[in-house]
Formats: sequence, structure tokens, C-alpha cells
Amino acid sequence: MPREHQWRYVSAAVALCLFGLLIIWRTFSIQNSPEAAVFLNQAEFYSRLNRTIYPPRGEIYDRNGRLLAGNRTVYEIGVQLDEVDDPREVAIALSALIGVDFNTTLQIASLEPTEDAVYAVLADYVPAEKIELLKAYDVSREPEDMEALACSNDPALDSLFCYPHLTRSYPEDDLASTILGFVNREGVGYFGIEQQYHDLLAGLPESIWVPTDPNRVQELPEVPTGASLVLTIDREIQGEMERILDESVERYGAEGGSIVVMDPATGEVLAMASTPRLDLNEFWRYPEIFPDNLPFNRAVSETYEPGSVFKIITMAAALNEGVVTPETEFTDTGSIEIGGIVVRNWNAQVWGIQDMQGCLQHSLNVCLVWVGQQLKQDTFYEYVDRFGFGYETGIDLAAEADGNLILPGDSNYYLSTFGTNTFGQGLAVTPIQMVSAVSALVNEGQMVVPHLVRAIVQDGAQYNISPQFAGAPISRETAAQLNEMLAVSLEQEASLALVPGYRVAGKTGTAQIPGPNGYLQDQTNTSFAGWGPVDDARFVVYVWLEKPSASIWASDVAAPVFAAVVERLVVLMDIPPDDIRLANAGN
Amino acid sequence: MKATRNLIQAYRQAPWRQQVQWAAMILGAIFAVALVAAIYLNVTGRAATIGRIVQGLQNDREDMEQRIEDLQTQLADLTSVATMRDRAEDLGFKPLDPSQVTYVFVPEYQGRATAQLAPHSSQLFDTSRRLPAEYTTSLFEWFGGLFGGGN
Repeated sequence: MPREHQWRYVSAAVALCLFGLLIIWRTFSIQNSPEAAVFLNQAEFYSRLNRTIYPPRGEIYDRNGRLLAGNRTVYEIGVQLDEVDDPREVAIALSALIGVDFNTTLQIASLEPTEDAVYAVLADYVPAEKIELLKAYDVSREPEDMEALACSNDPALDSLFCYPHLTRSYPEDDLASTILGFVNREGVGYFGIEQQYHDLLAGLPESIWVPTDPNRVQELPEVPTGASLVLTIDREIQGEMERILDESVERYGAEGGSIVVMDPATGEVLAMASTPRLDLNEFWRYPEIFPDNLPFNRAVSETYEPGSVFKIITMAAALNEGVVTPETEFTDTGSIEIGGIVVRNWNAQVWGIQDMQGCLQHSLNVCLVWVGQQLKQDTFYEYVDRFGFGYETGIDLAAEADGNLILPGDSNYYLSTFGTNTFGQGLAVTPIQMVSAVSALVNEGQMVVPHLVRAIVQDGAQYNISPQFAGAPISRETAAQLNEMLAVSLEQEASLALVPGYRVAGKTGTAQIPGPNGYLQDQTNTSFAGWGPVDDARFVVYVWLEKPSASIWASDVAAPVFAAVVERLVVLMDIPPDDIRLANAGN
Repeated sequence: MKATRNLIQAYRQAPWRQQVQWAAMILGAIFAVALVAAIYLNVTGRAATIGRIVQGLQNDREDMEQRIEDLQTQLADLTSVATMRDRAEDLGFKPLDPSQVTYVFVPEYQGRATAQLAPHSSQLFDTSRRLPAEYTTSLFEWFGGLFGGGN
């Protein structure tokens, strides 16, 4: 290099170095400028998203694994306000295809986007079928061209986005609706199983930060899903009971009713039909279908005076205390005085000499008051307590009522109350209380706690729920004695409750209904508590029809419903007729 | 003195050689930096691609979970009591009367089993039953078995 040119190279090197230093200084100054802090904050803001993961709500199955409550995908349709070209086009398409209000949609789609609001929800809980209509709105573009969340092929609807999410769905519509309850749009369970097990079914939502930078991607945490429940209900039996109940309510002109079927050995409720019922997929119709605080499930939430079906309890107590035996004779004079009132028989007739079998068979009020007197008031109420009346049974359903008892010592208690209570008037019980109480008669004196959840499925394991017993109000011998008495009663009475081929036992109950001015005339509650087969009971059935107009007598109304129920039960539960069953018992 | 200077001159490299060496060193450094940068970019780019794939798979998984829920419910819709009853009636079936049933005695038949949607909790957590003794026996137990005459 010629020495005279060296200064040029030195100058160029110095200039380039200075330029390099300038770049470094500028980079450094930008990095530490006040604006840089703003950009850093923005970068931090966009580098991650806060997402709340809602675990899918647990499913509800019947005892055979049939889905009763599940989840299905619905869509939220939203509009990106800064991308709307023609709000009218959006409103026309959505009102025509989705059914939303045109004016409201137009108003929302016409909103000017602001810094805080660039997205607005136009519709939610839109079913997948309607989204398909929207996607097919314009066929000029191939579906592959669409973004994953785009709602439509139509370029005019490019601003619409569809976000899928799950919502509760009930495939059986109104079947077992009074047992299941429902979940509202906010995901809160109301009534029945959905309310009782809400915390378990819903799971725990988890809020997490998800990085948008792919370099920082990490595995999303496993949010445990809500537990699933296997109910004791048999879907087929439930469907048949609801059909029989609906037909019976119509045939006998009843205002409503309830049928409960329970396995007396385990307390598993196999069916619990009640009127009215709600299509759970249209839960918003609840106030229309259940006006005036009508109980959602009469079988557990509505109390009523049971009438003669309660005589089972009085007789069970008397037999257990040994104050009477089935052969004890009583001379019925047609009336008896207790606490200043005169009690008469249901037909106001004199029945003469009757044994206890006859008293139950003819459902004699006078006889049962006498039995109560032999038992004494305190002992009688001790047994009422032992059978669980006045308490909730503990069934795993929301809104269970505990009944209404007036006990000695209460300000409105009189001796006449004791008299009427012995034949089931002047006290109020729920059907499920009666079912639980009579389970003692067919379960060797042991009373079971009725329940509806058979198993809980959580974290990949199934936890089966064991039967629970609620004490033994009577002895095994008393249970067997009364069981036989009630079977013979039906047979000798040639009751309409009898089912050919099967020996069943039970008791009718025709109860007067209290009104504001005493008991109502010509209106009754009719019930039947029965079970079978007598030697090895597989089911307890409780039938209650409210205010039937065809007849006021349970023997005409509730007893044939019991027979219809049993005729279906023996088929659905694979119970052979007694002769076949007993012939094969040795095998 | 002159001889010494000549010796140093003899061992000193020519200036053009020194310039070439410097240029080579600088080029080498630049190459090394470029190589590291290229590797870094490559690795970062691959990590980003895989990160995107992971994000996509997570979304796919969510979609599939929703789809499974959907299909379960659709299946339940199609096999609901009302639908099956209507289909049976359309096909000419009628509800069975108890008198029409023929019962056949089947030894050991326990009846219809109830739903088992997942392994029973005892099966899941009680691993001792499934593991052979070699995995569950302690050293003391083994010695005890050897010398204690246990079974």
C-alpha cells in the first residue's frame, strides 16, 4: 500500500468505526427510552394469554350405562367490529339462518370499534346444525379456505367468528327429569342430582397463562374433569313407570301423582316417576310447568296425609310390642271416641268381630284407633320416630321434605291427634318416607336409606356406593308376620292389586285432604304401598294419585296401578312367576 | 550489530503475510459467529415450529374431547327410550305380557350386570395383588421365609 494513500484507509476505518459505535449507541438509547418501556409492556401483554379451562361437566348414566345427562357442542357467534364491511349483510344472514333479532344484530354489528371493544357477541348457544347452515351460506369458496373459527364461506361474513363450547344436554328429554334436575346457562345445577352433586359434577375450573411465543410452549395442565355418576335408576323401568303414571293420571282424572320403585335389600331406587315433568333441554320453561312453587319432584318434596297406608306402621308397632297378635280379636262397633272426637270406619259401617288380619284387610279406622290405644301414645310415637317420620330419609336428592308431625307436647297437639294419626290422618309424609319405612317389612326388620347414586367415576376409577341401613324399627319376626298378613289381606280381598303368577303384599290408602275449613268433600289422595314376590321381595312400589275424579277409593284407583306396575316390573327385572322361581330355587 | 539486524530481518515475516493472517483471523471469527448464529437460528426455528405443532395438537385435543362428548350425546339421542320405543313399534313389536315369557333356567347366571364405566377403585390402587412377591417382599421377609420355614 503506498504510504501516501494510507490516510484514506485510516479515515475510512475511523468513519466505519464511528458509524458502528453510532448504531450501538442508538440501539442502546432506543432500548432504554421511555417508549421502549411501553413496547416492552405490550410485548409482555401479548406474549401470553390468560385462559380459564372449564372441565367438561361429568356425565350422568343410568345403572346400565345409558347416558342420561351429557354435554354437546354449541357455538358463540361474535363479530370483529373493525372487520365489518356491511352490517346489514351480517344482520340479514344471522336473522334468517340463526333466528336472532334483525334490529338488535344490526345495532351491534354497526358499533364503532374502540380501543377497548373490538369484538361483540351476537348469539350464543347456537347448535351445530345452524352453524352448518351459516357455513354453507355462500358456496363460492371452498371450506378449506376458511379459518378454523370463521363462521361462513361468504366473504361478506368474514367478520363473524364462531367459538365452540360445551353445554349440558339431556338425550332423554323429560325422562327422569324430576330426578336429574337441570343446569342453567351459567352452569349452576338446579334440583335433583344436578343440584345435590353440583360440586362433584362441575369439577374445578383452572385459570392458567398460556404463552403465545412458540418457544415458550409448555404442556397445558391436566384439569380434572367433573366426576361422572352412575345412578341406581334403570332407564327402561323409569320410562315404563312414567308411561303408566301418565296414563293413570289421565284415566282416573287425577291432578298428579308419583310412582316410586325401590330395591328393598339395597335401597337403590330403580324408578321415581312424578308429574309434571320438564324437558330438561328447555329448562327455561320451568316457571310455566311448575307454577305456584309446585315441587319439582313430588316423591321427595311434597308431603301429604297418607291415610290407611300408614296403618302398616301402627300395626307393625303393636305386633312388635306384643300388645296384639294377628289372631287378637276386636269387636268393631262402627265408631270409637278418642280425645273428644268420634272416629268411624271408611264406610261408616259396623264390622263386628274382627281379628287383626281382618282389621288390615278391611282397613278399619276404629280397630286401628283401638290398637293405638293398646299401644299407648308414647310408644306409638316412639315407633313413628323409629320409622323415620319427621326426618329426611337421607336420599341424595335436593329439596327433600321432612314431613309434618304434631307430637305430644306441641301446642297444637290433642289426644284426638293421636287417634287420627293411628290411621294415617293428621300427619304429613312424603312418598319416599313411606317407601323407606315399608322397606323394613320386607328386609327382615331393617330399614334402608333410599339412594339414587350407585357409583362415582372419578380420575379413571369407579367408586361404588354401599347400601346404608337406617336402623331396625321392628324385629325379623314382626316383619315376617306383617308381611304375611298383608299378602293374605290382598288375596282374601281379591284386590285389583293382585298379579297372576306372583304373590304380592301391600296396603291401600285413601286419605282425606285437609282444606282451610276442615277436610275437603269428595276429594282424596289415593296410595298403595306394595312389594313382591312376598317370599323374596325384589321391589317395593309406592303409588300415589292425587285427587282422582274417577273414584275416591285407593282400591279402585291406586291398586290397579300397582298391578300394572308389577306386570311391567317382572318382565323388565327378569322375575319369573313364583312357581317357576320356587321350582328352580333348589338348583 | 549489523549481523544481528540481518538475522532479525531474516526471521521477520513479510508485511503482506501479516495482513493475510489478520484477515484470515477476522474472517475466521466472523465465520465462527455466523456459524453459531446459524445454528442458533436453526435450533430456535425448529423449536418454534415444534412449539406451534404442540399448540396445534393441544387445540386438536380440545376439539377431539369436545367431539367425543358430542358423539356420546348424539349416540344417546339416537338410542333414547322414546326413539327406541317408536322404532320398535314401527317394526311391529309390542310390549311383552308376563304370560308370554318363557323362562329358561341358566345355572350360574347372575342377571344383567350393572354399568362398570371404569376399573373399580380397589383394582386401581391395590397394586400389591397384581405384583409378584419378588417385587413386594422385603429383605427381612425373604430371610424370614428362608430360615423360618415359612411357606
